[in-house]
Amino acid sequence: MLKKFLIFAFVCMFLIGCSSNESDAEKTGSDEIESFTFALPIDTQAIEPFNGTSTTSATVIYQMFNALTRTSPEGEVQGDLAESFERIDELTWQFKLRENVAFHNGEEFNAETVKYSVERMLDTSKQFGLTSDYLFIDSVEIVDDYTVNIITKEPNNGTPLSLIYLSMVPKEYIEENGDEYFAENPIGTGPFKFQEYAKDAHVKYERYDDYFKGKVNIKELTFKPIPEESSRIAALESGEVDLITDVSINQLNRLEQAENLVVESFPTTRVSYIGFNMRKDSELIQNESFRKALNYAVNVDSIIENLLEGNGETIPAIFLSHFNGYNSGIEPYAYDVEKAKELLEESGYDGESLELAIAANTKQLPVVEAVADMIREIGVNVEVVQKENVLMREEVAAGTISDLYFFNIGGAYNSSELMSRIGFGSVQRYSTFFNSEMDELRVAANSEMDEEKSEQLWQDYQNNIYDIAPAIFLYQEYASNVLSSAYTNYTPRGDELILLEDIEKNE
Amino acid sequence: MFHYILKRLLQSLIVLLGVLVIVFFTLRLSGNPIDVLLPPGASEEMVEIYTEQLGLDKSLVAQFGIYLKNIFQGDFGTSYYYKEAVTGVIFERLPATIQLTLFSFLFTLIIGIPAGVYSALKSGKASDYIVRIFALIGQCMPVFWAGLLLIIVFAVQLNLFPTQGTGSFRHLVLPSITLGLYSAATTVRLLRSSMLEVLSKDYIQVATSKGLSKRKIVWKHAFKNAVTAILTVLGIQVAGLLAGSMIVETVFSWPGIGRLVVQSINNRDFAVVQAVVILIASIYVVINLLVDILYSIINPRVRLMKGSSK
Repeated sequence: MLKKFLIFAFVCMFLIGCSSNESDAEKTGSDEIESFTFALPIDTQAIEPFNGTSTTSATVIYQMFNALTRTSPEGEVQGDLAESFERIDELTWQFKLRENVAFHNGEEFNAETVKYSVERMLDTSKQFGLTSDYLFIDSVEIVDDYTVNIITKEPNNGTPLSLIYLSMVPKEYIEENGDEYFAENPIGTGPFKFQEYAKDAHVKYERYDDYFKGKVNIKELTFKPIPEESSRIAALESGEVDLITDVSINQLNRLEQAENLVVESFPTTRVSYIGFNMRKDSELIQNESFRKALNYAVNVDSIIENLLEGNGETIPAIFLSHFNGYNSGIEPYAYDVEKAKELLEESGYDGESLELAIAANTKQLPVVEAVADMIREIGVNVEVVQKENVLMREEVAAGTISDLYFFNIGGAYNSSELMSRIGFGSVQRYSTFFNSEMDELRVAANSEMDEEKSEQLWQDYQNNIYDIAPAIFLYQEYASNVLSSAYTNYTPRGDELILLEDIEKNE
Repeated sequence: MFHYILKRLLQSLIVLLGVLVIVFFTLRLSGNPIDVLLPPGASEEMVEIYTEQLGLDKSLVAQFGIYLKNIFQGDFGTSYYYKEAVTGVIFERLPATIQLTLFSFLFTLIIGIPAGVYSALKSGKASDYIVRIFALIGQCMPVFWAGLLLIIVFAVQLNLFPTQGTGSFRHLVLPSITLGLYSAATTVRLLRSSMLEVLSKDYIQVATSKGLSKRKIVWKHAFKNAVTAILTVLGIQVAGLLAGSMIVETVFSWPGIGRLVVQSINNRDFAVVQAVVILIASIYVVINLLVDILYSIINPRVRLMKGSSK
């Protein structure tokens, strides 16, 4: 009986195994790519473009939508649905719109669309996830069918960059069908039309042939959230997906050897640092010599070379090379143990024990452990503690976090203003550096209409933050994408969005 | 019988209320959802608006009172993260988890029962040892590792099954085996020892001496009695499979409630976590109740004993 059963079970398994492998992507035709699948670690929060606050959500939404502006892969702000833009007075930015752009349902894109989209975003009663990023906007004025003025509450040089996530949405379609319907059946102006969203399983798109930048090569696009890294890699290796992200450094060497895969490591907009909790009533942390001592004690080059296998870049403070006012004249703090010890003595450190916090299960834990070791080398007692991610953020916001804490800021927060405000501005939730003089300098630099003067003010900001050292400055993070070698012309982006408009078949 | 079920149902309600209190208050000690919901650049003003809109400005007791009142009206709240009704969020994912659970349980039965009986019949022989070693491995192997191993061998190397996702029967095979591995191994070991005990009973000797066929003795007399002993365990295993699918759903990107609850904990999506915990607790309660009823049907002595002890 058992024997018969086992034979039966084996035959069943074999037959199942021999059936066709229908999930393999087919790639036929000349330049056209029949189907393409990419996998990221998390699912999108929503397909309603105003509710996606994560980079993954933005990626999913960018396939279907456009905003007035967009950044280049290197981070330069360019017009997207706006042909050009300029600041016409302190508070007003004028956008000239592209003509002959239509939404997927044929509805025309024009100045009315912009006004409607911005006002919809600013309506706090709708509780959109992105609204808080746009409360700096006061109003929108229609100048003519293809010209709009966006008026801000305060002078703001960063307006065009901030607008990259304000997707343009179809006024008539939403007014006719309602917000709820739109949130499940989105329609944009982007290269792909929405087909289907199964939560935690996939988002499917089909090509929009009348895309204003020209038809893309991919006919059917699928996004899949695959949370587990090993499963993501397995799906790529078995050919079920064509592109994956978030691959850890120790896997990259192996994948680089594979003939059918291409590994792309690239600098992101993410800046890593170890903040000093300067809201804490601690003489030691308030002491500039102590903070500098710790900066001199850490060998960032060695961390990048040995722990990150070259996947990182030192930065002088918190500004990246493409930010306004980046000062290439400043050298990052050198690794100088003697100087560190001198400064430590100057600070009057008396053996006090410090805590260095990092969010639990963060891949940078080895980096933080190495930093702690280097600090111990100069004689500072420091202990690494892991904190649950949300609790850690809550403690940073409340100013009750440990003396030192690992943090990084990046993604869309990709400018001098955003980086300096979010990480180091007073009364900002993720800042523990409250300094009114630096706030004034930041506001002045961001308000100044004269580009040269603004640049100079940002350089001053960078010099000052380097001198004050409210953090142990670490590095610019790298990320990795792994792509099937069947494709070419894919450019990874510093802000880690995945855009597939230019991708081609590898002949 | 009716009184017994009614009493058990009332007890179950108290259990569920206890679960609700614990999950409600511990979740609120674990961090503020605002920190996950709003982007890092959000102003204090926006934080205040959100806190008020989500009702987080009220006292904990008041929040609990409102929550309890809404539950009795069938409203489990709105997910902060997905911005839609919790019941919708859960019911969208529940079929996937139920499907996975059923197939894992089927795997448990298909492997566990024949192997357990076989092992008992061959007790002390080489084949018994082989089955027991496999059962031990099945119990010891971490689910996570077993899943990845199956993916590497059967999906990547042999290309027999997809590595992840849903959509066809082939997608179900590897996650069902992974999830069912532990319970199959447990069933083998329990059924083996239960069978051995029954096989040594007098009535089996009588049946043998009466010249009944071996098949009849094993399946009709021995197995029926042996399985009663492991019925409770099997019942709890179904609930365990349903609740324990978190790791398997993550490894195989299975869009079920296991993965939902992990994400919701990370996002401090209180309403979703609460509702899933209540759902899982209810499933445990219901399955326990069903097992008890089934137990009394299969083995009337249990019911008699309960009746006589009143």
